[in-house]
Amino acid sequence: AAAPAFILKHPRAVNVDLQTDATLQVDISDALSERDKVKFTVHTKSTLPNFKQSEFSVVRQHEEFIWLHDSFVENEDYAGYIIPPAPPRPDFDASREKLQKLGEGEGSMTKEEFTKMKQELEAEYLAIFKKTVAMHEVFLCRVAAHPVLRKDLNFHVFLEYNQDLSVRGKNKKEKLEDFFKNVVKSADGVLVAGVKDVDDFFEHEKTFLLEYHNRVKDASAKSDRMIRSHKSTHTTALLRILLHHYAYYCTTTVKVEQLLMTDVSSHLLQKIEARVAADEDLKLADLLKYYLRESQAAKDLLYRRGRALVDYENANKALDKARAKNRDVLQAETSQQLCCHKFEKISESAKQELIDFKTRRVAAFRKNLVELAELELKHAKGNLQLLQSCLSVLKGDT
Amino acid sequence: AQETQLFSLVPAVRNPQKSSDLPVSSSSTSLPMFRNKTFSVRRRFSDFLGLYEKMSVKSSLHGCVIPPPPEKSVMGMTKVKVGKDDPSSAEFLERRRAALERYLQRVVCHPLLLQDPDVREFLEKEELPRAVNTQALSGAGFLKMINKASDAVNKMTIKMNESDTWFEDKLQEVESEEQQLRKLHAVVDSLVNHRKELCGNTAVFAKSMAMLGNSEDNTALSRALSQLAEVEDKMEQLHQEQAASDFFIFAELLADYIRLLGAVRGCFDQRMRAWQRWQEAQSTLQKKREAEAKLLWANKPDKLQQAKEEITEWEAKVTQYERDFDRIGVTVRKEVLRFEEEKAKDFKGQIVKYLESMLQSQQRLIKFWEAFLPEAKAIA
Repeated sequence: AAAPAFILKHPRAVNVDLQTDATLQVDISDALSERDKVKFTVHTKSTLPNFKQSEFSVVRQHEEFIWLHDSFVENEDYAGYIIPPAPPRPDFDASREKLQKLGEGEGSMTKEEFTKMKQELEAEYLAIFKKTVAMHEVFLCRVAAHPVLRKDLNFHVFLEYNQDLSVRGKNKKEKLEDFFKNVVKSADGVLVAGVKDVDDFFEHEKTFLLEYHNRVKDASAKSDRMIRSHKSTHTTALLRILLHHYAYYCTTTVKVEQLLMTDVSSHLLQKIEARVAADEDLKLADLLKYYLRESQAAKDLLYRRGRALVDYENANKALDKARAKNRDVLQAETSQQLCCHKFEKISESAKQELIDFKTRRVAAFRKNLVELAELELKHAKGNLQLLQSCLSVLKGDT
Repeated sequence: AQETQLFSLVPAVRNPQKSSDLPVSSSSTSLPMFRNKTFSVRRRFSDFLGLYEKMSVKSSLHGCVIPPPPEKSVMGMTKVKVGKDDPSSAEFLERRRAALERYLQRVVCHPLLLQDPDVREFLEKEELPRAVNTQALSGAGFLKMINKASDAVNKMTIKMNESDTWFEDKLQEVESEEQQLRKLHAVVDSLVNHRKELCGNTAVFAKSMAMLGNSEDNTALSRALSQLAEVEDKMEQLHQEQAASDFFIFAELLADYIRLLGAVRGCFDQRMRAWQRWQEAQSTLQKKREAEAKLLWANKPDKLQQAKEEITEWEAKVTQYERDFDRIGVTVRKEVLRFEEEKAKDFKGQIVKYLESMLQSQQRLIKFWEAFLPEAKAIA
């Protein structure tokens, strides 16, 4: 079986709390997955005069999202903002491999088994697809919601230009990934080894973010592992087989309809079991993954501020030196003023960004934890009913 | 209706020097054959094997489905690491104790076995002489023994031609069910292992959530995350209990019935052997008659007298063996029906037990999440 092509129409809403604004609304209205490419249809509705039309769509691929993200990171003017984290690369490799293996093994299993496995794997593929669409959509929505980034020219080009942006992403992306790996390594160094910040707010944020980021990383990895275990613990499948076995080999009085009922119940129990794991994935694992990326983006902001502070301090020293030698004083003064201005600008916007980050974080956790609890309760109550129904059938069968 | 006896076995204090002594307590409400209403004796594991040995050789019990005793080896059927392989581990002891208890309960549920003097002696007598000849059972195990005997029967050259297909059909059914149970057992094993992994991963996740909660600087969210960590801890406990359920309710049931079906096969083999004995006797009788005919021609009066006596002897044997064969056929039919009723009851009982434990699990789960929900809503 060749890797399937999937089309997704109007995917479900994102799991991060975002404000919607009539002046600029962005969403991914549908997506197509074929072979090794995913094509997202980015749909925009806007009352802003910058655009030629009030509603329009373009097709974009993952590399173009990365290009946009990187252009924000490289832009000095945005040094004082938390850059919305780039969406992760769509990764269907594992899923595709499984589907391929299934196709190869088609001859060795019954038609029933094959169909069942195919359905399961396709559902898995679809779930991954939905997630990647959601992640790309969240990124765009965050940009659209940001008072400054939404005005960015590259963003408008991304939204409106209906040709391929010709971003031969690979080399560039690889270079940037390397660059960022080094940045992260030294960023923590700058943040940790640096002098204690005069500003209490930033000192607190530095300490907080370093620890928080590490703990979110840990929690994210462990939630993934737990949910994977959950997905491979097939209690209800066993129950179903046992009920079949009982019906076939053990009933002396054959009450077919009643036994059919237990089969229906156990089938529904299986569905709930799958949903429980899927919901934990959506509400917990995805939430943690997202805040792992967001907290990294916040750390990056602190790093940029830290670097600007270092530049400022160095400029001060250079000015003192120039004054002492009475040479190139004007140059040194200009440079020092620029550094000072840059540092203060970053500090000002960074403060607001970090406060907003906290607000968003708290809101997102609240939303997801409440939804998680409500879903767990809903599923447990569903299970209760089905179990009780099975029990009454069995107890009534004499 | 048969009065059912209640048994409970209490594990003895561990003593690594000698094999564990198990107290066997019995209580009976009205069976007249027992001296007291409740009584308790101490038995060794080998005594249980010895009891089986005694029952399995009695001709009066031929054709009966005699419950097989538990395997001596820890692993036996399962690849599940239940506790350690260490015989002193609590899990191993509990597993053995429960298995021995089920064994005795099956024995006393059998109307014929309950009447058996060896069974009564096992339950009542203060001191039992040490059981011998249990090597076959404790070493190779019950199923190996059954299969060996089965192979011997199948190798015999005279085959039965049955007008009534009940026996053939039923044996096929038994063999097919045994196969299914083996598959099921493998599924349960795998489930138990996955669930234990889930337990471990849930505990680890709970800790990481607690840590995250500690570093969260919004007070209400920090609290909620700690509460979530506690919920996950409780979930881990639920998973642990469920894993024990999986094992004690299902894995052991399936293992027991795989061996019981082996015992049922054993009955069918016994019937085959009875038939073969009858056939061999008939052919021996035929030979004796031919010999007599030859002697009549040869005119040897002494030898003739002996031949006539032998013929009488073998005619009696043929009659006896034919009666034995018919009787064992009747017994096997009755036993299979009784066994099937027991099996249906057992399976239903265990499935109901498991569903009820799942139900309780869900009810507790609901309590955990209902307690958590307001904490989540309080986040601000």
